[in-house]
Amino acid sequence: MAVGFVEERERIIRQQQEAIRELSTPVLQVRERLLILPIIGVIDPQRARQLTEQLLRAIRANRAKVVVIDVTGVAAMDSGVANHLVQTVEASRLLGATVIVTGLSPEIAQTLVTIGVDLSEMATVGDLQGGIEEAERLLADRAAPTTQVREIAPDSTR
Amino acid sequence: MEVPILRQGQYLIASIQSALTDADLSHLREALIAQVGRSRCRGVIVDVTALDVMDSFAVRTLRDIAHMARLRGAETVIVGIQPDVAFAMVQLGLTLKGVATVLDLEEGLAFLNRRTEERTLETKPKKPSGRG
Repeated sequence: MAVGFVEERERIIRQQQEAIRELSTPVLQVRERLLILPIIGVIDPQRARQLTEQLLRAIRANRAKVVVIDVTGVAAMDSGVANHLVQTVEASRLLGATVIVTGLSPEIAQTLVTIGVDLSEMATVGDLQGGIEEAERLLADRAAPTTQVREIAPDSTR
Repeated sequence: MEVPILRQGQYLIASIQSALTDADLSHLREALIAQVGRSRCRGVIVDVTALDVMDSFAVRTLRDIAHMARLRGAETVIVGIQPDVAFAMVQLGLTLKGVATVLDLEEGLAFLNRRTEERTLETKPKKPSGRG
C-alpha cells in the first residue's frame, strides 16, 4: 500500500518535471521565417539537448531562415553549455538557417573568453532588439543567406 | 542502389531514396561529376531528405561532390538534412564546412537561382571593358 503511494507520487513528480521542461523552452515565430528562442534560467546538459532538438524541429516546421537565440536570462554558462550552443548553431546551418545569439551578459562574455571557448563562428549581437534588426537585414538581403557561403564564393571579379 | 539523377533546367537533382553503401556513394559522386560536364549545368542539388543516418563517409562524399562540382563550374547545395541527422553530424564533428545547405528542394532551387544570377551579374561588367 505504502509502496504504491510512493510510486504514484514519484510518477506525478516526473510528469510535472516533464511539463516544466516543455514549458521552459518556447520557440516563437516573430514573423515569417524568423524564430526567437529566449532562454531563461540554468541550462543543464539535458535541457540544452532538449532545447536544440526543439529548435531544429521548429526550424523545419516553420521553414525558418534566421533564428535569434536570446540568452539574457541566463546567469552563467560553462564550457559544456557554450560548446553545445556552438553545435546548435552549426546544426541550424545544416538546415539552412542562420543563428544570431543575443544578450550575452558581461560575466558570461568574460568567462567564455577566459576559459577559451571559440565563439568566432557565432554571430553575436548585444541585445535582443539589435538581434532582431540584424535578422531582418539578413532576411531582406536574401541573396546572401549565410556568411559561410559568402566565404566560399570564388573571387571572380578580379 | 542506383541514385536517379534528374535534369531540371540548368540544374541536376540527385535524390537519395534509401540508405547507401560506400560503393553506391562513390558511384553517385562519379556519375554526378561526369554529368555536370556533359550537360553543362550550373548547379547540383543533392536531396538527402530520406536519409536518417549519415556517417563520416557520406558526409565526406557530399563535401567532395560540392568541391568537385565547383571545379567543373557548378554550385552544389545539399537539401533536406533531417534535424536529428544535423545534430548527430555536428556532435561527430562533421559539419560540411564550406558547403551550402538549405532546408528543402524548393529552397535549394531558389538558392541556386540566386547564385547563378549573382555570377552572371559579376561577369557582365567585364564584357564592355574587354571590348573597349
